[in-house]
Amino acid sequence: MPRIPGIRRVFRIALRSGQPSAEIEDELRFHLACRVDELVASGTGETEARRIAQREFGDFHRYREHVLAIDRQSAREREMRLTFESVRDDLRHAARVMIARPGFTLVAVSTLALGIGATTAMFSAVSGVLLRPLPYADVDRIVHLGERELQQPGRGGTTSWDNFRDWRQMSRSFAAMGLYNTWASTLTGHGEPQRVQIAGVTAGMLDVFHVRPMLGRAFTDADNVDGAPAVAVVSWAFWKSKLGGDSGVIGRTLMLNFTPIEIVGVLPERFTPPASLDRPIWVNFSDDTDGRGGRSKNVYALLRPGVTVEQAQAEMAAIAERLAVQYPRENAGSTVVVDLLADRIVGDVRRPLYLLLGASALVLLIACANLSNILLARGVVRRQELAVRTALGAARRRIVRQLLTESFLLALVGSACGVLLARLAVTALAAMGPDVFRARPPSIDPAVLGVALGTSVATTLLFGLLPALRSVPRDPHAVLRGTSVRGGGGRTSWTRASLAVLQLSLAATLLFASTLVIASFARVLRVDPGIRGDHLLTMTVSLPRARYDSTRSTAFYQELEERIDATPGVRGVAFASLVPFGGDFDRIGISRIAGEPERQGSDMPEADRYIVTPSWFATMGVRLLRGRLLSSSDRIDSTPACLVDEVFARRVWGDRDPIGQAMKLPGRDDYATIVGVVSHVKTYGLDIDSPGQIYMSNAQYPWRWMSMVIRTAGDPASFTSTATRIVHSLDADEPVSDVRTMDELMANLLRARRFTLTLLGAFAGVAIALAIIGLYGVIAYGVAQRDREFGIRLALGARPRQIARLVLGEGARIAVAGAVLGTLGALAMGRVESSLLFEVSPHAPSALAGVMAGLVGVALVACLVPARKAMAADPSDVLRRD
Amino acid sequence: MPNSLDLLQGTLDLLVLRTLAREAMHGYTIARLIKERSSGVFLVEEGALYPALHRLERKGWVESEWGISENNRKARYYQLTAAGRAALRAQMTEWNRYTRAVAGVLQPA
Repeated sequence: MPRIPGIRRVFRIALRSGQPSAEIEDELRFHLACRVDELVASGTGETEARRIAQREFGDFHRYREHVLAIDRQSAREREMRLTFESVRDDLRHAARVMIARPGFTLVAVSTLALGIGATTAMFSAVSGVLLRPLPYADVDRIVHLGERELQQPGRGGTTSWDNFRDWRQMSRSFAAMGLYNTWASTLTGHGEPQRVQIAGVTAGMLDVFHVRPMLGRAFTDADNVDGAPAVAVVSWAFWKSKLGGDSGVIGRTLMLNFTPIEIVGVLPERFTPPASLDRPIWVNFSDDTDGRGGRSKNVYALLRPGVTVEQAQAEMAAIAERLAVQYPRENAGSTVVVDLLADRIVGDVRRPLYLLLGASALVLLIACANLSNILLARGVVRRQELAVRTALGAARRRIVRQLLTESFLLALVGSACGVLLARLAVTALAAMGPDVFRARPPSIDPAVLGVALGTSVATTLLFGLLPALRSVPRDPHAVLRGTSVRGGGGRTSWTRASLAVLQLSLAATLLFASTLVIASFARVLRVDPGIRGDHLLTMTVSLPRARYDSTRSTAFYQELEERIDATPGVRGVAFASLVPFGGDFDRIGISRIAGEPERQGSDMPEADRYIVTPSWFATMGVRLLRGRLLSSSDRIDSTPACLVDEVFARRVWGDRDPIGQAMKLPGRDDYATIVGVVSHVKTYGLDIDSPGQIYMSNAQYPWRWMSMVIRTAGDPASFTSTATRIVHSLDADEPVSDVRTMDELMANLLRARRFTLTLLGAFAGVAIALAIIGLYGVIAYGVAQRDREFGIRLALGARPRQIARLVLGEGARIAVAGAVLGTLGALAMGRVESSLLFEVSPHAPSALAGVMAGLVGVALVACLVPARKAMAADPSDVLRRD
Repeated sequence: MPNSLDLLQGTLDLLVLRTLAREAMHGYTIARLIKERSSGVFLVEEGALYPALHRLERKGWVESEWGISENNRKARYYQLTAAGRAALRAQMTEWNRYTRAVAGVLQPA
């Protein structure tokens, strides 16, 4: 067979542009043609030659398709490799750019980190507190049932055992229903005697939450009848820590208030009951002596499948009406409210949290605008570099992609720093947040992380796109010749000014929002609490019934008061059945006032009952307005006396003098005479109305659970150990609990308000700082770009002062535009946050004007530095440069 | 595809690489040379050469470009890349080891 002579490639042709399938066809046909040529040359007939060639080759179609498939595959692979390589190159280049300009990178990254950090922290709070479902099965069917007065809005409160039993019997909407009340008892036999929180719980409560005891049994209806023996179901944590996790614990006894109680059940580990039901020991609810009017119990219920909250609400309202007719004395004017458990737990924080999330989003927006502005400014600086690359043939698209990659890398680094910031912030949030944050702590889980990364990448690309498009010169040669307008022309500076206006207006909105909240807080703090809260220490000293009858308890408290009073550093000491601002209340309704017809239901004037020792008023700083205070001459054998506060007095007697009036207090058959009127105490918190107070002496109304308040000369908290020692010197078995300073208690009630205020204030501060930096950047950059113009103006005889006015004028235009837009935002914001305000109008004109004037002022100050620089432009230097 | 074809493919790849070792050529020349040197033992169908060539190209062992053949037709020329040369060396070593081993077993003791 003749050897094919070496082929000289005369020239090469680029045929690559042709269809791949056509190329393969050509290649294979060439093979056949060569073979046919060869055969014909050796004397075979053409038809025969073609036949032989085809046979030797095999199935032409099959090979063509096979080759085509291989080529397609390699085309795909090449594409992917190229993409990967170019992305990698872009990233590498972007990283080099970032490292080459550490100042720029630092500013950009920290700006983004602030925005992302704020948003991520707030989102983690929203996600952890609001979005995460409660840990109960069928949580959207668990409701709270409670009574409230017909005319008053709001959630349901507590109810009585008698009403609960009627509800359970009359209603059809619920699959299960349970009632509980709470108190504290002394637990002995497990080390030091201690106060433990107890809940008295009925059968059915565990059914509401679909929970079964891990050991033993739940309460049954037999446990709730009068005279049923006391039994206990303990929490898993109590079982583990106090009972050694012993599985044979059922049938053993606990000593509560020096009385043995049999343990019949242990709750499972994963069950955390809501709110005040979450107590280490549950005992069976029985022997209710409070009657139908004794509304101190909470009720949870499970809706029957398919029954809505509205249907249940309608049914319960009807039942309440029937009970009001049947028992007008206790139930007139009262209705029942059905609330979803979830709403009760997080309802109060929902609005503030969403508001704060919105505020953090505005901070992020401002941060992004800032970033956009920085990128724009840098794009102008890099015009020369980009023009060179464009002139050398880089496609515009390619350069835009490169710039976006730089933004992307900034976003990644910025959001990583932001998430770190958020982690720190979340710990602080959990510590300072409202109480619900402790049960449902915010945390940065994968979902939060995903949202953070997504947000940062999306925003950065969005805000990086404009600068990227702007930075790539349309006419690179003009840039290179130096004939292009320096400073990027009017369009870019207009864009940057608009961004600055946007930033300022958003910052103004936030500033106004936080001003309103701060003003509200200042108003709240200015409210007279009715007591002097400083230098007060409070603690509870309760006496078990088994060892103290009423005579002994009165004597104990008197002895303790004398001993504490005699201690150096004590300015005053007193006992009371309730601590104001402590979150507890003891509301009583007055049914009989001497000389008036009997009152029923919601007609009964209500007040909180305070049973106190006579030194209470001097110790707490409650002022006497009329009449006299309680004194040691009000004894068990003298006429019962009481004091009322000014609010209660005005509500019941109006302008008439209450002194000398008599009223019947619950639990007593005789009338107590009002001997004096004292100042009102805002016992529920400075920003909440309280119904007023009625004071009685513990000498006439013996009370077993007393709290002690001590006014100290020095730091009240440091007096704790001395006070505890004195209590134990009287009775070594007496536990001291709930040790708090009055300042702590009062601050605690303002926690949610302080939380909102702190965060909103911080966001506003960051927003203003970013916006002012943004404005400064725009003006300073404008001045740097226009130094030639300023030089010429100065050379032509303009005064430096006129130049400065020019610069300041530009800053002022931006600031005023920002303030005008900001005012619109602020008015909208005020409406959103109106529920968080206290005696402050959501569109307080003076506050609005003040904020906007302040903003413009600060903005102008920020422009002073560039203005001074413009004034200092040296005409000769500037003119020499060109 | 049956496994025997895989073996054939691997062997065919080696033959193609070896044939291209000295100079660039188009598919027809490659087919002629293999047929000639093997006295017609291999390559039952000449068409099977082309999937092999494109596969080698995908691996980056050969590269191709269009040129004009001496009979004035446009033809696709293949040549070894550096990676292809390295692969050829490695495969030849492997092949030699293999045939020696097989021969060692087959030879009478």
